[in-house]
Amino acid sequence: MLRNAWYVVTRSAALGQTPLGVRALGEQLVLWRSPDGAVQAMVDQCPHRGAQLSGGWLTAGCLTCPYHGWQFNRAGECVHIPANQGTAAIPKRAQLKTYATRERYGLVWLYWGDLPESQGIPIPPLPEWGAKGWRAIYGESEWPAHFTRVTEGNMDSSHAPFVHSAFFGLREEAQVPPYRVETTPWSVSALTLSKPPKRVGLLKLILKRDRPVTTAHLTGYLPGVNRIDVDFKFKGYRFIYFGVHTPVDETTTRTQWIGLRNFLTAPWVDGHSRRNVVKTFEEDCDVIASVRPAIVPFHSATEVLVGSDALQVAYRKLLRQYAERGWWHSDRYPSPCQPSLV
Amino acid sequence: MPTTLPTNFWYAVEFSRNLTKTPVPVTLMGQQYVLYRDDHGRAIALGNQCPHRGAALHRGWVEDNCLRCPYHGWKFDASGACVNIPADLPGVPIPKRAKVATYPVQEQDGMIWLYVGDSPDTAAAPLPHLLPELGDPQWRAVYGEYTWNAHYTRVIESNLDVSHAAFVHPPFYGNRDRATVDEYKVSTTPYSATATVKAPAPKRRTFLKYLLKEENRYSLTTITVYLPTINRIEIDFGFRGYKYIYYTTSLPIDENTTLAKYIGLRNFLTFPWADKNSHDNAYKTYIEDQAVVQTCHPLAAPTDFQQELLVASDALIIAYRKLLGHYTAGRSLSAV
Repeated sequence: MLRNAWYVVTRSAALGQTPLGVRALGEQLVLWRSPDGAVQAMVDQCPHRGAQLSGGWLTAGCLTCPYHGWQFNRAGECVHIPANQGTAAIPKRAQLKTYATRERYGLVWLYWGDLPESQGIPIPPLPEWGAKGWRAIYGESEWPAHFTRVTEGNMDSSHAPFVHSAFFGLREEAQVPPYRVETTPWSVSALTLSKPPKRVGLLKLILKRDRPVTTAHLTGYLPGVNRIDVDFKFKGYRFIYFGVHTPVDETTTRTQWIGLRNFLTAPWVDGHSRRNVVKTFEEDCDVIASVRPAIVPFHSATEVLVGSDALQVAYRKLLRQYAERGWWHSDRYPSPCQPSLV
Repeated sequence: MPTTLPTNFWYAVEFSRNLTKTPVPVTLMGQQYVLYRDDHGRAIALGNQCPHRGAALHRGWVEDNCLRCPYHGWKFDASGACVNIPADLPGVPIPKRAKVATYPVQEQDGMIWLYVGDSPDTAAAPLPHLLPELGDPQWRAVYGEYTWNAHYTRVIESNLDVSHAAFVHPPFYGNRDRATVDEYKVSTTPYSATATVKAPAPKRRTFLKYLLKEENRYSLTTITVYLPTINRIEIDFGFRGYKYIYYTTSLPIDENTTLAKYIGLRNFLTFPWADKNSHDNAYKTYIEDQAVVQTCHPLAAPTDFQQELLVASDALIIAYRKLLGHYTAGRSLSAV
């Protein structure tokens, strides 16, 4: 896991007045909203006797432990111990570790790191979200795979004819034209061309039969965010997939994704659009879960990467740069910069 | 013996009344035993694994006071020695290694006690006698059991907890604004801890509401833990001498599973028709406790006093952890 970065822990709409327990980043976290609506995030374990606070409730704007009613304010400080006699002071150790949070694009982001947020990796932009003419849908899925493998899967320009049924017809023409990778301090992206896939579902009705190409602008942001901007080269129709992959732990990844489209923006199309994304996930999942080493190697000598993998090469290079700064944290994979991890 | 359990102790593993000629299995932190009763009414405990090909003996049967393995019919006597191998030709000697371990057993307070350790002479604690009320015609007993998804130390502590009721048990929710626990004194022996606490009465939900006057605002509860697995809770309702005693053993099945077997005794409404009510009360309490106890992390109650933050109202739990730490020599009780 990369330190000093933002990770998505839930959707805004999923978090109400009831505390929510979430497993993420190898920790058990509790999320809740203080009465002003601000999202609070802390360790989901009472310092008293270890109960999960997410089973509790709010009392006067404080998170209340369901076991003995200890109350914690938004700074994580215990402010009330019901069983204590009036004169007893609240111990200093009665304190929960807290995390900074932000709400962006209808998602709840949590900052995980030790450097100030201003020195960390920022939340990626998504200017189409909320813009006129765009319709957003949301989804969530879990992968039995490391988040770096999931992120690379989402920036892969050469697997479609083999993994995704809509592209099976293109196996004879699976060559990937060379593409140019642009790198920023926290992102890699490339514009790729592909033959249009078989028109499935509603696309059958709205897309012309003879389109020469579809373009996909693929971007990967650190630590594990993907943007896939598909331009159907027809009437300006585009579909943008924005997926945030957060490690539940070092073997499981949870993706919160947003699908944005500027065509057929009526709500009744949502189910359709969602099914397309979910089907793609399902087709990717088996192969991504089977990949070894389970984490992508940051060292270029471990795997055989070719021209069409330029985007993955760039992503690994970025990961490696931050790892060399000491931002990498992993109990299971402490040194992915070394060649040949198991 | 697994290192995560106190050794050289008697463990209450089964109700006496459940033990017949039909063998029953017992599991303590993954270690398996089998119990049965012979024709003289004597309780016998053996290792639950046939030395031949590893079958669990408790699926077998008792014959001539011996236990037959269900797989190939090997027959073991009360000393654990194999006395018959049906498939052997006559005259073939029985191998010396054809033996299962035996364990000392006693009966007391309605329970079968199994000794786990070197020899009963080295026992860290005598067999407790904490339930003289059992069998007394003034008292009515019910028996029950349930399984917790929690480490046994957490279950034992939930039985020692004097400050959670207003938050975990609905009948006590009304007491949240008077949840302060008066200072109480803990008396200890080398293997037990006891305290008496005064607690505000709950809102009555059951028959008790007809029996108890509302002006009886307090009840007195005497709580005991006796290592390694016994809790006794005696509630004195402060009205006509009515009392309820909850006596339980919390058996460590594995790191995350505990089998509780309890005897509930009451000296009021001693009619059998009130038994169901008594069962229901115990069961509801368990369900309410389990919802929170199963979330506690780490799995085992830590004995080092650094990981968790215990306060004055936890005095009984502190005493328990000290005893536990003593007998487990500071070993970590769980991997997680």
